[in-house]
Amino acid sequence: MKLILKILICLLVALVLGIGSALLLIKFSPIDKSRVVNGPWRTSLSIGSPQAGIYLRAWVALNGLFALNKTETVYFSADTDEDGQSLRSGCNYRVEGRDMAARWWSITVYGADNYLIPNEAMRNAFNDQDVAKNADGRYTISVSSTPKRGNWLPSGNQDQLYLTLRLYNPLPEVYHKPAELELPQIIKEACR
Amino acid sequence: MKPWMRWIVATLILALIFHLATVMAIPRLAMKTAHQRILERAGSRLNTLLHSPRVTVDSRDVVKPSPDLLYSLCVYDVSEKPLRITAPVPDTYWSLSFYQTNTDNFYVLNDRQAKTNPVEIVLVGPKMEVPNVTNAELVVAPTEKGIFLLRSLIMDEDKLGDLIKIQKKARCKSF
Repeated sequence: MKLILKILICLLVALVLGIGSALLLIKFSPIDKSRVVNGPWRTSLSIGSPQAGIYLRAWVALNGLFALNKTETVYFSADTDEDGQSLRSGCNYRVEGRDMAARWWSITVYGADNYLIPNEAMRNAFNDQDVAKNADGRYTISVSSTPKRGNWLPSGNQDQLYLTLRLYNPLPEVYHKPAELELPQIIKEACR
Repeated sequence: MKPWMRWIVATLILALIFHLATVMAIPRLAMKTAHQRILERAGSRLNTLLHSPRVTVDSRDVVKPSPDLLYSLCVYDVSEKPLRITAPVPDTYWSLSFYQTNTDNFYVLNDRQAKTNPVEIVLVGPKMEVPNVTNAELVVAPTEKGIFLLRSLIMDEDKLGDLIKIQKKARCKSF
């Protein structure tokens, strides 16, 4: 009886330890050498390539199945603001940037479940064409649960928000020096 | 070695096995789920191109769907017959891509690389005798099952109708 109990405890601890550490490593993928950090934005240049390691591959399967390789699309994702605080609907954010070196780009907001957030304005993304820009080409997008003037990206009611920046057919500088690109800033305003 | 140390070592080894099994299983499971969801939509038909309507908040088949794109998907099985893809190329960012069962994207072609319009591709299985193909590019699939994806970028909302018409002319068929 004692032996069975020991085996059971051993199995249970191994399960929790094994699966837990796997999920943590996949989430933070510190093993992925091609990972790039640029402010709050992260990407990996091995996404969609056969060089992707097992952890990156698992991350892509969970967070962006069917992603394309870097010459087709470079995907940057952010789950925090400039100060490293998690993005959530309880706060308002200002996303400020300028045009990016790609054939076309877009910024999309996703909810905690990685799907689009239902909202009455029927707005989940802004892109190169439909974002209102200033005379100098810069733009500001408001991410908030209550309506804002100008470029408003509704954030609904979510514990965690994810922003995805997609650069379609990026210029080579995007994947040669991804950490030095000027990407939009994600600035926290008021929180409730 | 003391008995309690043996238990700890055994637990750690088991944990490592569970760890690796989880990491390796996730892509295959994600792909399997996607297969099933797409097949349900396509009326369980393999080797048939399913033209998805524009992405909305109700699009919940694949995580992080891009509202910028029109997608067409085809769950294929090239274990017995090759697959022929015919896809007209619109005047926007467009790409066709093939994914094997471990999620690897083994072939991709975009509108700027397309040499013909429509693009014609014949996909053959890994063990298949290579057929004599004319007027089409031959692609060998590393695994018999997989997913084919067409993407067209909606650059201009006013031209969405035309883009959908072009999208619907694409085909994915065994022969």
